[in-house]
Amino acid sequence: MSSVSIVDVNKHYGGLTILPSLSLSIPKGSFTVIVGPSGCGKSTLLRIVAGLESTSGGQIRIGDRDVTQVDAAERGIAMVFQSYALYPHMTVAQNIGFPLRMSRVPKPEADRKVLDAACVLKLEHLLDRKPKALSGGQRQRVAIGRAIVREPEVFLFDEPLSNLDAAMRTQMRVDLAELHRKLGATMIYVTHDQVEAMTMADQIVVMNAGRIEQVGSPMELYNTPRTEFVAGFLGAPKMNFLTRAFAKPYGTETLGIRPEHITIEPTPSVWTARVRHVERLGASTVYYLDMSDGQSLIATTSGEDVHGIGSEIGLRPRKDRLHRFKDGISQE
Amino acid sequence: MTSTTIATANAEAGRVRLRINRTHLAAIVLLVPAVVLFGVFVVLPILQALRFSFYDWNGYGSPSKFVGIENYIKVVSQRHFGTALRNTTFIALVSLLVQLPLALWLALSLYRNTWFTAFLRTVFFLPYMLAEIAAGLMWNFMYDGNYGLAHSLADAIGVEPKFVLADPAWVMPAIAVVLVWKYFGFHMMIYIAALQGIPNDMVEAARLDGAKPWQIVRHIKIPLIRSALAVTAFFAITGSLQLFDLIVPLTNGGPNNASLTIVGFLYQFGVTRMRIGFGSAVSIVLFAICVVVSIIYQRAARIVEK
Repeated sequence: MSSVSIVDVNKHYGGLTILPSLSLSIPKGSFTVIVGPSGCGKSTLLRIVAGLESTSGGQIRIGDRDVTQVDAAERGIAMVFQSYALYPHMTVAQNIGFPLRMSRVPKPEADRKVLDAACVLKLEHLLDRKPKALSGGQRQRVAIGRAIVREPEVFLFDEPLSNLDAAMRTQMRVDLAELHRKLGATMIYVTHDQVEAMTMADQIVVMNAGRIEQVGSPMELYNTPRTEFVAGFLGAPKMNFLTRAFAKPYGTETLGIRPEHITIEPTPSVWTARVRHVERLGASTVYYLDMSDGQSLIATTSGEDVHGIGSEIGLRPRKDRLHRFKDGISQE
Repeated sequence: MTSTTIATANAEAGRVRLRINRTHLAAIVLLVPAVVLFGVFVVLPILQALRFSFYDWNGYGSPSKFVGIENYIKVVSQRHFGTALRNTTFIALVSLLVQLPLALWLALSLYRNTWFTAFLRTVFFLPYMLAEIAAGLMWNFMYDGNYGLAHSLADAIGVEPKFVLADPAWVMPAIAVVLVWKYFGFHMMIYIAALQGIPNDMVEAARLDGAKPWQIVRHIKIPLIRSALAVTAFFAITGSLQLFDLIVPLTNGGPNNASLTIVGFLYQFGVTRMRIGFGSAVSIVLFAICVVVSIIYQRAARIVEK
């Protein structure tokens, strides 16, 4: 395993700038999740690290090696694609063993490595099947197996769970986190799903419009977002942003407060709001509220709801959890 | 069983009957026109040809002189039929071993979309758009040792021009060149369509797995377009079996019947000599060969699909 350094990397297609100039350090053995909305350049960045895209400028280093001009196969990386990219004419064993076959690893050794990878991923009983006879989760595990046998310095994942259903995605999140612990490898994982980022990462990199907004641990980014974008992107339901009369008393332009940091009270309190919609999730309840000046707010409480649609309630924000933003930048 | 249960069961049986009847009706409505057309324009002529092949008949009046399998014996014992069979086999082999690999190589080089590859694809596909007769005439002029390109080339390098279409030893290779030139673009287009259907992720995954470009072709691209390869092989063989109109303006089967194909043999010794019974026997032999090729193709395609 190795660290990855991205130094002043930029990417232009003709006159179009995809990545203006970007630097990032990924520590050895970390699980780094690059998260951002569609089109923010996160997949392009991953493909540049993989060697599948060239850079317009800058440097990529894996460990001590400058790999900017090195061919993809020689970089010591393995990548898992969103579409799995399994070879449909090969069996599971042949798919997993393909990189070993290409690097002319002797057959007995290759077979042993394929079996080892299959055992780690619980695929032993599927080795003779073709990809079309597998479920989505099994296919994804085969794709991961193909990456594992190469024993790469860095694993790259390009939205690997996007094609799976919700239950399978949750299971695979756990499996991937466990795999990371077991292998101790450096992993770079690209997703647009903030839940995947929060649950799996040691380090989250939030990207927006080709730029890095903030880098840090999940809770660091959650509790102390440096920009309004990061504050709004991480967390579900997302952070509330109040302006005008609600922000002014706190000496700011935009006041941010997470839904779970608002206490609901039956009588008028710091703020007053009317219940527009209620979502009952069993363990918690999500209230969609209209404030007096027409602004909207979301608040969550644990347990079942007691306030019906149309009822007026009081809201008390936790003072120690308020976020103040000016021109999109945190003032904390 | 209660009366309610019986009534429910009867209603369910009625619904099943109705469903079956509707399925039958749909099958009849959709199948009958196809079966009628196929019967009138395919099955009936084959049966007629089979019947005529047992008669010594010149096409006038109705066939009356039954000769049994005599026409078939004449066909297989004719020296020129052997030549035709040999030439057809040669054409099929050239199609399979030269034309298809050339088309595949070009397709692999040109399947990505750029203006330049699009231009080259169009250029390579143009010969296929030409009528066979026009292409044959064009190449006839080119091969002409007195006025054609062959003359100019020989003149340029200072050797005696060769009349390849008049030389029994060279005529079939010369025709094979025209054939490859005429049809490789068609096969190339089929391969390009198939290659463009391969997900880019798969090729990139192979690159990351350490496969070199030729290994990606061998281990990924070719296996993934195997259906297209099987179809083009089938087209190449059946096209070779039916080759006729390209040869007519080039050599008309000459010199001294050296460039006869099976269909050319049928035309020369059956149709032009008014030996309809004999020609029918040749056509039945050709049909039998086509059926065998189809069966082999179907079997091979099934194996390929597995």
